[in-house]
Amino acid sequence: MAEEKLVPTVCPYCALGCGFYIKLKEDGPEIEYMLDHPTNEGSLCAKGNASLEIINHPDRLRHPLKKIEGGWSRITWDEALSIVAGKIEETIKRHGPDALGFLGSAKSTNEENYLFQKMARTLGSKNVDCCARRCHSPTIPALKRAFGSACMTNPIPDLANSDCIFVIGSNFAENHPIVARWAMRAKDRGGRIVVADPRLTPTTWLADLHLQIRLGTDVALLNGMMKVIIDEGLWDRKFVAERTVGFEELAEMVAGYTLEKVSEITGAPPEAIVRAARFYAKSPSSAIVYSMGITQHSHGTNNVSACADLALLCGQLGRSGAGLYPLRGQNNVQGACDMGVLADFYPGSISVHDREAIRFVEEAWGTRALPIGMGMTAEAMPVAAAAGDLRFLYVMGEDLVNSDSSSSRGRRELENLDFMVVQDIFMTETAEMADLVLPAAAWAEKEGTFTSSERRVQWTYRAFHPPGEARSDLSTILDLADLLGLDFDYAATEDVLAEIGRLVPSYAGISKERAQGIGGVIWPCPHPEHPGTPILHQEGFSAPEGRGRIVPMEYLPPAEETSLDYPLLLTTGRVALHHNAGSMTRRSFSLMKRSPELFVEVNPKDADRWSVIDGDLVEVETRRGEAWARARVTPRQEEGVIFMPFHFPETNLLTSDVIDPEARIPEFKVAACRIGKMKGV
Amino acid sequence: MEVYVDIDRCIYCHACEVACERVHGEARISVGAVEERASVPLFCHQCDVAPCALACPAGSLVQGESAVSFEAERCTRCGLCAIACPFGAVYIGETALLQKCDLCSEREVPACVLTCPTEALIWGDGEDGAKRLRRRAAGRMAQSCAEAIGRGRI
Amino acid sequence: MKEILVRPERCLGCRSCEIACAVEHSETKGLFSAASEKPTPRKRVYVEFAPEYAISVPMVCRHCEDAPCVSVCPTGALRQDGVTRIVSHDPEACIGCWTCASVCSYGMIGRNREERVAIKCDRCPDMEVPACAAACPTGALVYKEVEEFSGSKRAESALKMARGVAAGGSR
Repeated sequence: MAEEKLVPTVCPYCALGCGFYIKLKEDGPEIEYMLDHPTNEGSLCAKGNASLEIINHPDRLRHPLKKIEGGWSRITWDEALSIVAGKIEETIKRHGPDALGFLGSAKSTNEENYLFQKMARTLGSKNVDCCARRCHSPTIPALKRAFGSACMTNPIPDLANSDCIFVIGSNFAENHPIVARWAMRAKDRGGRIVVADPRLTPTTWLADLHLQIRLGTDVALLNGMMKVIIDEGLWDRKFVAERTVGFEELAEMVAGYTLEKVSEITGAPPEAIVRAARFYAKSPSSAIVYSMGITQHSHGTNNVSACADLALLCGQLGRSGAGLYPLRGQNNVQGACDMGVLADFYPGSISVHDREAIRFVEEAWGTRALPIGMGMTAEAMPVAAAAGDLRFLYVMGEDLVNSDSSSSRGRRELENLDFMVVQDIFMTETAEMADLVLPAAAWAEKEGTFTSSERRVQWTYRAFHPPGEARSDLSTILDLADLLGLDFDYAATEDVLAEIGRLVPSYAGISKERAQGIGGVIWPCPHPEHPGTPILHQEGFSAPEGRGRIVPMEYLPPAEETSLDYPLLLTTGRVALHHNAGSMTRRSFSLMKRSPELFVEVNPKDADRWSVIDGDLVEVETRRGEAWARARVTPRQEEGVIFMPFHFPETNLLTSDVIDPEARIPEFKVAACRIGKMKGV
Repeated sequence: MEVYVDIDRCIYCHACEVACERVHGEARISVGAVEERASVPLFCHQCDVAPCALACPAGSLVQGESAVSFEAERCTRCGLCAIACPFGAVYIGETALLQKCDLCSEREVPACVLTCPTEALIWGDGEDGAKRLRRRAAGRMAQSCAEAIGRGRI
Repeated sequence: MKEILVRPERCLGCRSCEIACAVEHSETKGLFSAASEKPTPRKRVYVEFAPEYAISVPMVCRHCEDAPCVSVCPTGALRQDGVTRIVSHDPEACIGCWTCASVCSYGMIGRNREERVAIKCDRCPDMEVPACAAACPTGALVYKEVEEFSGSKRAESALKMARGVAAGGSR
């Protein structure tokens, strides 16, 4: 009789790092709730509950495939890998290593991501990046400037200790449901929730105060709040004097953001702005929770800076209940960034411009000179492909064709590549465009560490064999490195983790054993006896002199405005039942059953004006493309704004390609559009 | 033991539905949104004087001490129970004759309760649900009162 | 109409209100005889202690305008009088579905296990002043019309201000 086995794992979907057990039984695997996990206490959202549905899915890629006339030809791993190695060498010879591009995966383990960028950079290429570019890339420069380090400052359960939770640009109730657990515990204790969001969402249902601000006006709101706080003397004088720089410049700049002006820009009533400011500043412990509503803008970096300014001004950092929470989107996007799968950073946040520090990496890797300088970002790669500067692209676990904004342009640009290899678990729309497809193992079919948004490093175990000939990314990268003559010698996954610890000080004390404990370890963990660091900035910031930098930001409006031709504004976002570009959730039966198709939310007044009836198929058009979607007439957004989820490929055909000058993230959140009934329907 | 609802906490995430479906093949719980303002989980209340049990002509829905149980052998699939239930919590099943919450009889604690991210479903006895609501309302009143008399948080 | 109004700052947490309520809803209506009744008489008011403020709050049914418990009751066991606004409960019609308990944000619906029906405040129809308010030693529970209650609070405040003015030396 077969035994039942409980395999601990970390959910493959969002970045909250919820733990659960995969129960292996004779008649099929099941999920058991992990009641003593510190972040989720056993609870799991709908996606977590559905996560096993992709494991033996019929669509899983099982064999290496080579693109041929009219379809695909199945080839052996040996053939596939030698083709890839050959193309890499050929490209280097003809065009130099900077014609190579590498896109890492926010779903691969730390060990896999680490080796991926190591391979790329050892080959001489600067062009390593990942989907964080489209997500929290503004968080990185903005928080580095403000605090010296760019990450969530307190663990999620600590939200229960906040007396005020200020939520801006986040719909956590749908997209990070476990955050709501802790927010509600805060409410039980009398805490207040203030939400700034252009839409009515389940998160605003939880709010004690909802500021329904116009798209992209966050900096105006934040500046207005800061002016109230300064005028009423509610700012933390001691904290500002002892632990920050830049107050005077801020005070001078926000002086112009009067309630009248801010109310006019944002649409929020003056008294609501005052109330929000007072709640946040006067509460003994306040938290700021933010996500894509702040970052996915042409001024996303400024938006994040303004959030950091508010926290610094009010001394709401560095202790329980007071913190800044950038909610990240993928199970290992934090880890991928820590591992340096970014065009501007080597592992351990070493800047690509820092010659000294890069020399240290060279020594650690035993290589010759490593590339210095900014590489191509995820957004720049398709553009570079079109210009002929990028010739070869290796895509690991990323559906960039669907997650890129203005995606039809991206598709055309990628067609110009000499060679694209895609390593994934499903034949995504990106894989369809590849010259070679390598079948990969899903999260529960391999082992290694994932780092959640809380900086929590957790080991995930192998519960299943990958289907067919699919292999872990680790195995593939090692085999490829071998063919390329790179000296990657690792006996086991934990050896890679050990090397990571030698290069990334925050991971230095994290071994496999420590990561295997329930809840893993929260970095920084600089040595093996260190308990980990749940709350950051308790004594000082990692910025110069240990002081946080307050950087004043002027409000700048979104890049696209409405016009006669495009009289509405399209905003995009996520919904509870789907995840990102949808390659996994659109193949999950129980999720598709409940959310089967692309929809567009239209305000009743707009529905009237443009003759849209609930349930109709309508066409949404922007300057970049058109898409059809099922109309839902709802007052969730104000008149003049429509909403579409980006889990379906058509949405990003419409989105804007204007990018933030520093973080280079596109403005997914604002596009001028028009709406009309499907022709002929 | 029963499942109580803390409506203020329901965030319409559908986790309970997906968990229930995963465990039972078909979901016996669903969430209903109300006018874009709130959401409520809907499931069998295990009524103490259950209309479905009273309506069942075949005696397959049995009123128990603290739950209403379903005995499949007697069910004729007449559908009267589904009509009688004031909450629409009894479904004529697709994979089974009837789908009605059985408090996850094979588990210690119902899956929906364990999975609910916001603890909107309470596994308790007697007045556990009311107790939580009362405590919260009292906390709010105490907070306002404290502010009025100038007393701070302890 | 008179309401039962609450001043939590005066609550000692003595629970006289809870006892008085249970006794009034017993068969024998005497304290010692009620204690030995079977089934045990049940209270419908609750004193909740909030430790974070060290304040006790007596919780009584508000007999809300447009009461949620009434609108949700599938059998009409809970109904609201149009004039007095009192929400009453008819055990005969109750099916013990507990939907009322879910929607009452004050958690005022109790459960009678033996008879399998809900229990809630009936505003003591046989008494001039509801038992809880009558029993309260400090006046934390007050049975008054809202205008009268607000009026007495205004008078108290005014008196405090007047004392302050007088102490200032101008009188």
